[in-house]
Amino acid sequence: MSEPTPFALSQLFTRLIGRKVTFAQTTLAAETKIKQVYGIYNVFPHETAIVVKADLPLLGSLAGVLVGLPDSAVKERLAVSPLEELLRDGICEVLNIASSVVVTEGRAVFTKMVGDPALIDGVAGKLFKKPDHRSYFNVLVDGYQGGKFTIFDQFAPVKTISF
Amino acid sequence: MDILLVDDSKTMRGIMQRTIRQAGFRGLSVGEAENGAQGLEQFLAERPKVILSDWNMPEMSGIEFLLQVRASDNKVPFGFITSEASAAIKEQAMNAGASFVITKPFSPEDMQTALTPILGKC
Repeated sequence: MSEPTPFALSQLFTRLIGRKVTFAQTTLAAETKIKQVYGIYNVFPHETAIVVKADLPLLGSLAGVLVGLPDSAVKERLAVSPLEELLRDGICEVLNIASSVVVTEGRAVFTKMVGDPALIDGVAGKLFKKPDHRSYFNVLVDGYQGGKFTIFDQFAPVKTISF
Repeated sequence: MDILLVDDSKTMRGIMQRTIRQAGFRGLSVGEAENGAQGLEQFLAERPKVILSDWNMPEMSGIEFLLQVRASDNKVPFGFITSEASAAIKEQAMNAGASFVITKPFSPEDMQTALTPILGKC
């Protein structure tokens, strides 16, 4: 199974926000205390799922550029809880637009984002607990805070052919 | 109304408006709706010159919205702006009567290419 490439991810997000975004693949992401956001996608036609886990400051940076906020304003607004609608909506849109590159087989449709992994349910919940595969990336955003981005994936069901 | 923007994301509707301005279209009357059902209401009331709609939306999806518009025998130019980039989706859209499909992320140039034949040179 192929996995999303750093090149495709970098290209998409650079085009999205008009600033250089660089995804570099790593072997493992150490757990941090940085607040995480989880994007949940259904994948068709296999009716599977994928989950994206990313640092809130990273997604906030991408969303902030998208809605025209400078880095300092993004940081100030990320410190406020609950997250204000402008940034929250922007982060949703970032995760939605990512749907075209987070899978290489099938069609991913972004369904929701959550801040608590306990809220990842159904097929996505099972996948998140026991993924077939994880892709780890360190992400740099020109002029803004970067962070970590991980894709939890599962292998598509294999078709059996009878002779 | 010149343009009706239909997207469940308020942020995306704002980005669409900004990109339309960056593409050189200024002084246009722009309406907004959060889903296909609201979009249909606005379309019937305001008769915009062009509709730009998302694909995945709650209550009524973009493709259902398009089919409803076409069911009223209206030929209004209807474009999708969507993260759904697959050829199958584009084919489905065009078969249902879409005028164009713009894939997110989009640029002012993409918007200009799509809208100039409809709204004229800006």
